[in-house]
Amino acid sequence: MEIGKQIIQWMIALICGFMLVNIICFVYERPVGWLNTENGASVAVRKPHSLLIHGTEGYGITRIDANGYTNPDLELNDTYFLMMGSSHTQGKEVFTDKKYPVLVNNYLTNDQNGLSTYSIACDGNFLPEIIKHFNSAVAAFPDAVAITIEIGSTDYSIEELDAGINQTVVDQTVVDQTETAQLFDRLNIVDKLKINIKECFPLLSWMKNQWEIARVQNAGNAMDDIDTGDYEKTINQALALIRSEYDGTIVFLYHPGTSIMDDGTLKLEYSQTWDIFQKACIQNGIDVIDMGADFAELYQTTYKLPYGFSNSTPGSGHLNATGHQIMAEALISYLEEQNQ
Amino acid sequence: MIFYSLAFVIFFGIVIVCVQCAPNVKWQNRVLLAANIVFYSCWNAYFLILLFAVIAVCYFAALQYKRHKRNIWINSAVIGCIAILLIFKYINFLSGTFSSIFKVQNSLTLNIILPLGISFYLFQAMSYLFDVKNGTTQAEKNFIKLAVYISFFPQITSGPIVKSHDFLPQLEYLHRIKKENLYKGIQMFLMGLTKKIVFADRIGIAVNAVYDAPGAYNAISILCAIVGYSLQIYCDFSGYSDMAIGIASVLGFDLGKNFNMPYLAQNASDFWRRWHISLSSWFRDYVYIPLGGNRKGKLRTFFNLFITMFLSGLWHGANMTYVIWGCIHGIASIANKIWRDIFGGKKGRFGTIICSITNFIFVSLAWVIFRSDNMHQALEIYRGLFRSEGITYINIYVISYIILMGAINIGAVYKNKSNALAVNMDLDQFKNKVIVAVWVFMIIMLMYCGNSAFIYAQF
Repeated sequence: MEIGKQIIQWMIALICGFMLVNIICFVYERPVGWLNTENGASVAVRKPHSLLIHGTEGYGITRIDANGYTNPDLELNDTYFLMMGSSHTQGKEVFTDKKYPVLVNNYLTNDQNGLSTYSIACDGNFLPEIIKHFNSAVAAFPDAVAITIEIGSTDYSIEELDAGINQTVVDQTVVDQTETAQLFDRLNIVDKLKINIKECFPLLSWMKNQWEIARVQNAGNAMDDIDTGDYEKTINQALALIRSEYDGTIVFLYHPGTSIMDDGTLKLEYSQTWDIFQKACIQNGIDVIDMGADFAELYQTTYKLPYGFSNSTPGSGHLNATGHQIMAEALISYLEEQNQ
Repeated sequence: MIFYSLAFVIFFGIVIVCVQCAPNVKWQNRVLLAANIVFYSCWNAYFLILLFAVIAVCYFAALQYKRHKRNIWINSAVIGCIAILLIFKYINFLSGTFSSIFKVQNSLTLNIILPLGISFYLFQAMSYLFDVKNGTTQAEKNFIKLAVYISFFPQITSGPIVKSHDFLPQLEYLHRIKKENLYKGIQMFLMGLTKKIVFADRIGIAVNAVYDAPGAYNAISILCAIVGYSLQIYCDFSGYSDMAIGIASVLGFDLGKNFNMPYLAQNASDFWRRWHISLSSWFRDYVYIPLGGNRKGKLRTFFNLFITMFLSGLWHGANMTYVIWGCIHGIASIANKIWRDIFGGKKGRFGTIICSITNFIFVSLAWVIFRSDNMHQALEIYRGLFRSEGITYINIYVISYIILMGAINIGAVYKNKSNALAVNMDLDQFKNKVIVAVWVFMIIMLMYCGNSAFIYAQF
């Protein structure tokens, strides 16, 4: 009898404890509904109009726009720059007004009532995925006057790049930007329930995330050496493909990794295949902005780093506010050069 | 098998059931020995041979000493233990130091793995031998009991170093899982877990960043890293000790107290009465006092203090930084003795606060040498304290946890006369159950999931 009472008390206590910490988790780390889009403009979209809170690396509160991306919820202008990229471009580690797509937009749009830049970046949307979804993105955003593609690495295996080159056929009903909310509405009851649990119980998602982090940390992450001959051929094929799918300006915004040496100097960590990639871009009429020199100059003059936050390690992780600022400046000066 | 892994939870659950089912003390000790063997084998089964060789030598030597009353048995076994420690831990360091001093080629570099917990179990083994010689413990006739003591799984990897006269009597009676022990053990374990995976591991990220590139950071960042490391090593090591004590407590064993608010210490000697108490008392009982303690005049007392602290530094690792760190603490202890002789030991409240702050600054600066890979790195860190240019890196976790620990220390001063505040809630009450549940989920939310090896396990 006494044991039974104790067990019930412990179960209730655990539920109470979970609920209380879950409330705290809302301001610490709150994910939102996520939907993989096989034929979409990027690998996935988030639930429109939901609030994404990220506090484990930097801190940012982002309201998801009507299309499921991390832009300010404003109308698109008649012409705009389409910005592709990964979690760096998404900038969920910083506040909206610090993200480089927004900074560039503010430069381009004086009244700030519309969007002249539109970011379709999302987590895990790396080079192979960008190539794969490029055609869909162009179809979904036909009025884009230029496309910028943010990449932090060019080192991918031939298999990964081949998977990108084999783009799936565009389904216009899916890529139509007005359809994102409907995509979520069309989900079956189990998937809807999953999303609601994810949004209402951020602690559960966080526990799952912690488990994943521990698993990945223990597994290690080794990159095999890349066969440069095969890589050159494949990357040329991939870049030729995206060039053929879009007539306007395409510019890659490449940001190398950084590390601080024990003597206090900054080391720029370029991808093994960077030179080949850069050459392939030139061959295919694609522009490239290399952020390396800007990062080095920033560090030499101000000791500021483009990556890392006060709750993580300096020089590693995602772009911080300074990183976004310098990326925006580089992009703006590129645009000014193009205008001249 | 670390304490907060699923494997350990399953293992410990089985151990609890088996201990609970043991019909008598004999079977209980067999179960515990089997648990110790399984636990140690999970790291490296081959080094069990070394562990059991040590136990066998101690067992045999103590019995021979009892029979013949000849010191040679105890002395030989102690020399054997020291020899094992020298071979596995210090041989490369000693040969390297020798060759660099005398400018000769070092031809004695061995590629050997340091057996897990060797410094801890050898010190326990020697504690047994000394206690038998001093008459505070009877030579153990039951091999299993001695083996359980030396290889006890909760503390074999990182302590606390329990003395034989404290532990062996606890193997004389049957342990049953009691509610009060369980409650105390759970809370102690949670406290240790919080210190380790929430505080120490998070702070470690910030500290490592600065120590990896000391030349890149400005004074404020370096200062944060220095204070951060003081907090990290305390939370890491006392966290492990708390977990070990908590686990042992669930089984009904008392491993004693290993930390008592060390950063409230007012001088270096006081610090060692509060920091790694089991090691400090080991050196006090088996090195300082046998050398004469403070009974043979001032100069000899100073010498004894210095030697004790030097050996304490060396115990931590085969590196010149540990030796220098030990010597600095030795000098500080001597300086404190001289100060007390000249000015007396009485202080007002203001004096007490000033002494605690001064001692914390000293201890933190000394930790720089302890943390550094070499003296060059340590000097670079010290130089950084005067550098105005560089990266400004003030880690939010370091600052938050410094404030929190500061508040806990102030609470200890006012609530418990500068002694550690015990967390011992009555878990029969529902509100305390809710507190524990919130505590568990807060740990899950705030823990660091990356590399989290215990700092003291390497010693």
